[in-house]
Amino acid sequence: MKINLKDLKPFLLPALIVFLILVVTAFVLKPRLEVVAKSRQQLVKDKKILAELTKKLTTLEGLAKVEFSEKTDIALAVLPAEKDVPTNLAVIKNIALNNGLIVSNITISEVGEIATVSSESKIKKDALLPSFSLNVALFGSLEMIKNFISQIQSTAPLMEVRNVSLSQKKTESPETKMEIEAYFLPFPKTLGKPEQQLVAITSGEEKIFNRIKEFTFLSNEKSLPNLPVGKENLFSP
Amino acid sequence: MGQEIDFLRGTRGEREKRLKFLRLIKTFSVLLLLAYCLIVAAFFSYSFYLTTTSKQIARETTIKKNKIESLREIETLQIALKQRLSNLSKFFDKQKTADFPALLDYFSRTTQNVTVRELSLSPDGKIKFSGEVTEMTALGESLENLTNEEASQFFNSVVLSSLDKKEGGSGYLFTILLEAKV
Repeated sequence: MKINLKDLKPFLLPALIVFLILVVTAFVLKPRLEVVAKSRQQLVKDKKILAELTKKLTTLEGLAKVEFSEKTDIALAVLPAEKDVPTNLAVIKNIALNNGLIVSNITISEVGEIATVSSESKIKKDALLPSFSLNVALFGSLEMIKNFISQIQSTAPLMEVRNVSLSQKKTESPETKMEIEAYFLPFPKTLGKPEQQLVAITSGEEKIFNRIKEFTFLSNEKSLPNLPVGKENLFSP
Repeated sequence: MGQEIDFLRGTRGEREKRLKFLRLIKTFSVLLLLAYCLIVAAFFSYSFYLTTTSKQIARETTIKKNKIESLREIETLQIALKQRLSNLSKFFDKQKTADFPALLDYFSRTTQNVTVRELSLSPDGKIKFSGEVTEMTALGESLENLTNEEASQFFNSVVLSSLDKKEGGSGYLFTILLEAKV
């Protein structure tokens, strides 16, 4: 069959249009379509991040710096960021002195770990907070010991009396040995991404803050007071 | 009247049909091109919108990030406070130790006629109380004090574990094991 080219001439324009559509679709639109699809996905993500940032910024702007600073100072005094042995010792000695007790001995366990970096401190088994133990021996009456325990547990930094053993020989005033657990909590290692949301302080945590706010805060605890610790001169009468 | 015979009528009809078909194809292809151009224009407009919006969001994100960065100090304070309060909350919730001051207070009030030799208290509430009395009535009084209604707020159980007469003298040595409420 002989095809007359003249007969095909009217089909030239439609064919050209279809060809153009195919070429543009294949070489321009299709690659661009993939880019647009990716851009759209990215835009959705970016919008989400921006919304989170806006929310976080609004929350941060709503926080009063002074109030937070004071609150954090109290929380840090109660739960220091690292082992603060001098403060713990000073508080124990101050409270003992205030109650008329004589400190005969204080032994700190895990001495080797005292100077370690706080964040590396290990939490004892079944404990929620990292801690170290102080074994204290005191001379004084039952009443004094009672007040001492009561005050130790309501004075910053956070300490907890674990075991109490009171013994009395005939003439001497009772000797009490007790194990005091001193707690601390290292800071979180990182602050997190800027878009990471701030977790608000719950009402339960506010109650805890009100509780620790009532703790006694002894000033200038760092300097160890010059107290009678046991017998200063064993050969003295 | 002469009658005309149109020998090309059939051919002309076919030609008209063909022309109509070709016109239709031409119109359709032009319309298709127009529609395609519209689609392409819409597509590029959308693409342009995406690019512009992305740039705008990136700009806003940077501004917000910078603002958050400038408030880093407050964020640090908030995180540190939250971390401490959250841990303290768990700590106080879990804290179940015997109330030592209350127990010591109770002992000091109720064992007036007893010489305390040893009193040990452990956080799980186990108490060992050893003492000395000159007369059995004093021990009886102490036991009464440790088992009465007031004492029931403090102790779950009270057991007199040993009672011995003091060697070479008057008086008695005793040991009481108690379990305090935690």
